Amino acid sequence: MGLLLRGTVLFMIGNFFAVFMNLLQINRQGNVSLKMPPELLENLFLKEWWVPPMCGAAAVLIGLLYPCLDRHLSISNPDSHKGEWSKVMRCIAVFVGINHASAKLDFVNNMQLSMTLAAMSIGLWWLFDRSPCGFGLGVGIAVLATLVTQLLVYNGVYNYSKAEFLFVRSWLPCIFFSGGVTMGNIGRQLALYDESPASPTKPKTD
Amino acid sequence: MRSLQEFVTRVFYTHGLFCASHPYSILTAVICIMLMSFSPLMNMPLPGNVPSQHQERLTDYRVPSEESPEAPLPKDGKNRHPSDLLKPPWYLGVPVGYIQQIIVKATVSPWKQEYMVPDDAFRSPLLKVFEILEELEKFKLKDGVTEYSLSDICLRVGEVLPQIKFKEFLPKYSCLTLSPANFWFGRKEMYVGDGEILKTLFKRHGQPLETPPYLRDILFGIPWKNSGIARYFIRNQQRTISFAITIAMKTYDQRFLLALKSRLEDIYPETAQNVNNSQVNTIVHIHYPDSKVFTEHTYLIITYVFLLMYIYFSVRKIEMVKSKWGLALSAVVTVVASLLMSVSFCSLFGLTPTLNGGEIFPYLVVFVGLENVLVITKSVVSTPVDLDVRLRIAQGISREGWSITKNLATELIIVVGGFFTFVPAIQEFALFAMVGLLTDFFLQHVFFLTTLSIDIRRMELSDLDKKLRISVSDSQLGVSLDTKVIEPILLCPVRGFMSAPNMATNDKAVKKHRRTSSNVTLGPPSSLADTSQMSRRLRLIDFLADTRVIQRFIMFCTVIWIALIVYKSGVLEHLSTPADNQAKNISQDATASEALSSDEGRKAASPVSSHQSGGSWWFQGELVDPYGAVRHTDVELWQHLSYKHWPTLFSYYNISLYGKFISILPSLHLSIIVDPNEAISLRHPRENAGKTPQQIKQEIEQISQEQSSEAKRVESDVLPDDSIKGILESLPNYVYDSDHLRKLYDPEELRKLYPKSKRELVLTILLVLFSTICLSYFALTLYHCICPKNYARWRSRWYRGQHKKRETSGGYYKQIKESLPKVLKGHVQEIECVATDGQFIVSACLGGQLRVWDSVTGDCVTVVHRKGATPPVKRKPCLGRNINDSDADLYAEYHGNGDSSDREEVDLPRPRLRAPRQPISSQTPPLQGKKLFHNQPDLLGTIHTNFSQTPPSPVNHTSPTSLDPPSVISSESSPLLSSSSSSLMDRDSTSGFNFQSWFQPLYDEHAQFLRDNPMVDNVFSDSRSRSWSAGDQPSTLEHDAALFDSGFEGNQAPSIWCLSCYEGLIVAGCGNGRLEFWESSSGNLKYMYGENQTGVTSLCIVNKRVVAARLDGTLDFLEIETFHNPIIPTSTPSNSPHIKGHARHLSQHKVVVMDSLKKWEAILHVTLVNSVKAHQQPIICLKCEGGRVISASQDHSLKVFRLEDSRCLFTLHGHTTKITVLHADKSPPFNVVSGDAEGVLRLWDLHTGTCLHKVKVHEATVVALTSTPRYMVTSGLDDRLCIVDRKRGTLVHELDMDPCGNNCMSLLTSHLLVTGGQGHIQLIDLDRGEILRTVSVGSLDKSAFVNQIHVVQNSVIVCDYASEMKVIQFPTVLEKAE
Repeated sequence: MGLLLRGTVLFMIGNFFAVFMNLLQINRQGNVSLKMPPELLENLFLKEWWVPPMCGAAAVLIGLLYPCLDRHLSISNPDSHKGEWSKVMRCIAVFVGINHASAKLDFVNNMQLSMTLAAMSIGLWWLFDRSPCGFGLGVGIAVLATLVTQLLVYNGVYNYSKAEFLFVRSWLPCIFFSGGVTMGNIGRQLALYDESPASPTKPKTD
Repeated sequence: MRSLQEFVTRVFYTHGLFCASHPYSILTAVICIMLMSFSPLMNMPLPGNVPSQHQERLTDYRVPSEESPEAPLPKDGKNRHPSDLLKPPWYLGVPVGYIQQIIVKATVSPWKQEYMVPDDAFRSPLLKVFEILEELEKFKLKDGVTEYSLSDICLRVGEVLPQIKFKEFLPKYSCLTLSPANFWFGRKEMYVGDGEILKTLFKRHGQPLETPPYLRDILFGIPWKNSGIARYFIRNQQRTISFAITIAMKTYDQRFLLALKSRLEDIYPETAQNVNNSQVNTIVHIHYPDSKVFTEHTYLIITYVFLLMYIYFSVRKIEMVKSKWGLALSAVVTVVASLLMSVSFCSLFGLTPTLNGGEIFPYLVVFVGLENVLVITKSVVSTPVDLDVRLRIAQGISREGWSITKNLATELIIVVGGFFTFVPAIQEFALFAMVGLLTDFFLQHVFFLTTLSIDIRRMELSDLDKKLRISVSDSQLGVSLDTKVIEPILLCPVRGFMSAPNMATNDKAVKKHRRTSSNVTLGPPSSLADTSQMSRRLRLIDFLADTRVIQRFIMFCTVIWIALIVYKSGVLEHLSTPADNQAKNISQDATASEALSSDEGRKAASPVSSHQSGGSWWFQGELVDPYGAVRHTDVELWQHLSYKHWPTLFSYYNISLYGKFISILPSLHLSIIVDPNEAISLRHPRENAGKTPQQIKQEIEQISQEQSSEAKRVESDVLPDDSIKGILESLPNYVYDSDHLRKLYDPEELRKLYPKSKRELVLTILLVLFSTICLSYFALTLYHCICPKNYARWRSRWYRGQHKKRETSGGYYKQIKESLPKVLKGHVQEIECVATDGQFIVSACLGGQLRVWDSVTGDCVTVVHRKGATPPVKRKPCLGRNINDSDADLYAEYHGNGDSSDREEVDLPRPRLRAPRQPISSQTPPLQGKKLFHNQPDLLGTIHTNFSQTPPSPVNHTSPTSLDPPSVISSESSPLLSSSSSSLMDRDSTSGFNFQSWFQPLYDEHAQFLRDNPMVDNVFSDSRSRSWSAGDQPSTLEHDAALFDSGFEGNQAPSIWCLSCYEGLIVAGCGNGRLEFWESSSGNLKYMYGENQTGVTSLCIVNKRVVAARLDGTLDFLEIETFHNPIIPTSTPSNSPHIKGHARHLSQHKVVVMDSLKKWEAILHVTLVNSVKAHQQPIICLKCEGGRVISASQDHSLKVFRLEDSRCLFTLHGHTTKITVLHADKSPPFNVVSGDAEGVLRLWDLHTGTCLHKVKVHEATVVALTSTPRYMVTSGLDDRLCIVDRKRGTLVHELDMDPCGNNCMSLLTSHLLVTGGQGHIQLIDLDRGEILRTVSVGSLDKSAFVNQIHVVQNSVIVCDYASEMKVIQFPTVLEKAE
């Protein structure tokens, strides 16, 4: 499988996650009995049409960067990521769970929320990655992505759906971090198909 | 840490061994535990629309605002009021209604059993509902000028939905007030007039399949089991009836409700003593969530998708198991069941899940994970395949035990970390996850591991034929080398199941010995094969018998049973509670206990005490103590209502609660005690039990009198009233009688025997069931044992159960043991060739003598001396397999100074090889140095005849030549060769054969050698003088039957190399190329064919065709023509009817003998049909089956000829070295098996000429070969016997045999093989690959080898033994019925 195909797959996954997260956040806003009003769809897919592609691009970047970094730093221990889609699935599920928790649970204050999310993210990394390289990259991504988001917000290109500035900032890095780790896992898994010439099956693209 | 790790490993090892040893029992137990632990889940609402509750203090309560609250921003904590924060998002606006329940407990007290009928217990208490309703209706609250009643604030409802079947019972166009009175439309007179209240209550209204809540649940407003009303009253006693009046209100008016409460409490003064109505001061809002919206579904769907993908990818990795899907299913079951168990445990211990089960479930699964399951599977399947399943499991799990434990600990720590987030939802999740992890751990190691062991056992069984069965010694070796031996911590007390591996094997071995015969000498097969042969039922029986599990279990049950009886009899209670009772009595009726006269007092006191102790569910509502009975213990009874209660109620009026909420006000509790007089007076005429109203009135009076008397006695303990005294005196007998009766059948006494809780009842029922089953089982078994009709059968079955082997293999071992070899003596020299045609056995000895034996009687039918029978001591090389041996021997005899070790290194020119043997006899003929030998095999044929005239050898004949190692004579530089060559030269000059051109170079070389070694010259000259072959002389006489005699001129006969026998005609192939046709009955020489002078190595005779293979690779196809002797006319003109007519009648074989012999009475004439130069090298073996002649040669190839026209059909290439053995099927598909000198076995298809299988079975030359429809059996020089599956071409069994002498084998049946050895023959079961019997054939001297084995008619084994023949008969051996 070529680099292009991998990129495409990652792009799709990134898009998917962006849409999905958006849905979760809408869900959070409490209009429980709404049945997907048309303006929501409009919001999602028309007004901010560029958000999912951007997430997709970021996913491609991360997903390609991780295995690349692994190879170059050669710090990857061979048995840590040994062709196990089940592990990737587990990672994704936990990632969704973190999102879910951040969206659905009631927290007393920001501090609690961000601490909990941070703990969860680190737990995610520890469970599924455990490589210092992955951790560093995750942190880097989190910082970078938060910065970019902030810049975007300051420039008015994009604004948070609610004026909870502080709040948003507190959960954003954690989500970005865990997202980075997750995408990295997926990327590594996909890269395995490149390494072994005989690809057993076509990877799932969700 | 190290020691801890080791300890954990050992624990896991023990556990694995245990699980794999008792898989089925453990599985059953685990499933029982699982099901039992699921039972709390029954009460749980289904995940999805779980109503959520929100509590609020009544004093703080204000009606929530209608619209969505502005102030609290959902995510910004700063602006939120703490109380707002706790408010759920649905708590907006007004509720659908406020529910006020008035819960009434009423009972009739005191209960006069003599006068009351069962219906009294509930009729009058239930009547109270009308009173209360009346009161409610009347009640008005004055608020300043306005005065309003309940009807002003109540929730008014419209029409009941038309599809409701019982709508007439529900209020319409009025306040929503529900009470049991609705059954009688709120009309008291209807109630009073209703003769069958219970029938009314239990009447079915809806569809035949109703689900709760029923109408009665709705109207009573409390859980039905709390109402105290049962459909069938068994006994006449006091009951407490409870019901609720449910009022739905539109607005919450605190003042009105308070006023109402105080009013009602005033009316029913007993209430104050029994309940504190202000105990609960919270209002509870119940929200019924709306059906999920799309957005909420999305992530659920997605998480479930990921969950499924996770599971899919996980279980995909399960490999190397028998049933992948079964194991995957059990893995999923493990995880799911562990989660369900954790939920149920949590709810059992009071933690009601507030989280939506459907939401957290996938995360729980993901968290708990399937990893351990996969790790275990992988580890177990990677253990050595040849081990026992139990050991595999134990090793596999012990290998991973430490890491699993570590992981579990880590995960638990992470979960504990979840508690410190202080987010309730996460804490709850963490709790669930923790319990889930532990239960999952439990299930993995008990449920999954056991399933895995079963699966692997199945796989092993099914792959038994496929896999290499490694011999026991190897597997033992594997254990010791591969993994360090871990000793289990404790051994299973039940059985030696868990004994250490070695012990287990030894145990099996011992068992095997016991079950088979004592003569089994070689290693038992692995225990695997053993278990595979037993049926499951037998194993179960075996298990039961070994462990006496049933007996023990029954004993255990009996002990429990007795203990329960003792417990129930109240002994314990008597011992433990008297003080308690006393105290209660004193406290409860302090005055009464002092005042009571002895008789009455005891009566009154005992019920109180007993009722205090038993809060029995079984006798709900029987409580006699008036105060205790109507005490409200649970003040929030509505919590136990079905969660569908309120939605159902409102749905009757087409009001949906979904997406809305209702508020439940603290319920009002009332306690009412009804006077028995009132109860009796309210009786319906039908309930009076045939008593007239007068009698009733009388009874009422009596009761009132009694009551007043009691009251008076209580008041004034000194002097009872005269009138009461009179009454008491008037009823002494009656009272006495009833007392007496009551003592006999006192329900109180009896009740002590009744189970007091649900658990006890279930246990009792289970025990009863179990003991019934056991008893019936034993009765049946006993019947089977004792009933004479079945006794024998049962006995035999039992016997078979104990001796499984007999069952599976048909029970012929006894007979084998009893068989005794028949000895056929007569030959003076060692027997070299044996042939049989089913009826007769023809043997040829080294001396050239032919003997024909009857296989059944063992008589010697004919002795053919072949004219000049050699003197007994004379040694002659005889045909068949042993030419070279004999040559070598002879050579050695001449020189007397060879050494045997050298000979082994020489190339083998002859087809049949012999296992290298230890020289057993001390008189092994010596042989001279090998340097004298060289490979020039073609010459050998010409050599042997030279020895026909050898003088008596010094060799003792009891040391047969077969003991010698395979020796080969090489022509170059061999003195033997030189002698032969010189003889050849001589012969050439006399008989005109010219081999000069062939051998000249060799001779030259040899002459050179001789010049170099003058020492051996003497020998040559010596041998030369003897080397005149008589067989060569009569060559000029061929084709002349009249001159046959001259063929054996000078009492010398050529050595017989091969022998064949057909219908009484014996064909012997001689070393000088001659074919002799003898008549077996008379011993007459019928014909002699000697056109070709090359030695005949193999011979086939089919019908009238004879195929002879010669040493130079030529195949001669001969045809026998018969002419009738004119002197003796035969009845049948042609031969073919004869052949048909003589289908062997075994019963009259004598006649048949004569008949068959007669066949050849005619003059024979043999003509050469065709002579084919088939091979370049000597033909080792020739087989003729199914119209095909197959020749195997040393030139690495096989050729297939058609018998009719001697056309070569195929040349089968493939062997890379010389072929040593060949076997052809005697029945379709007529495949051919060949083995070569490298130990490779090939199976050929004759139709296509292709090689079907190629198996490398031996490390050394294959020396013997046979095949059955299922197996190919080979024996090699490496002393192993290999059984190869013919279809798959895989090795099934291999046996280590005695270190020599396995050079012949024959099939007794298709499952039984006979092999020869030194001094014995062995019977081998092919299916199991084990030696069944070893039959000793040599009585005293066991040094000789059995070199020829033939089986006649599937039951008689004929084998040679030195100069004797042994016939061993197995008359009872039958084909195994499978």
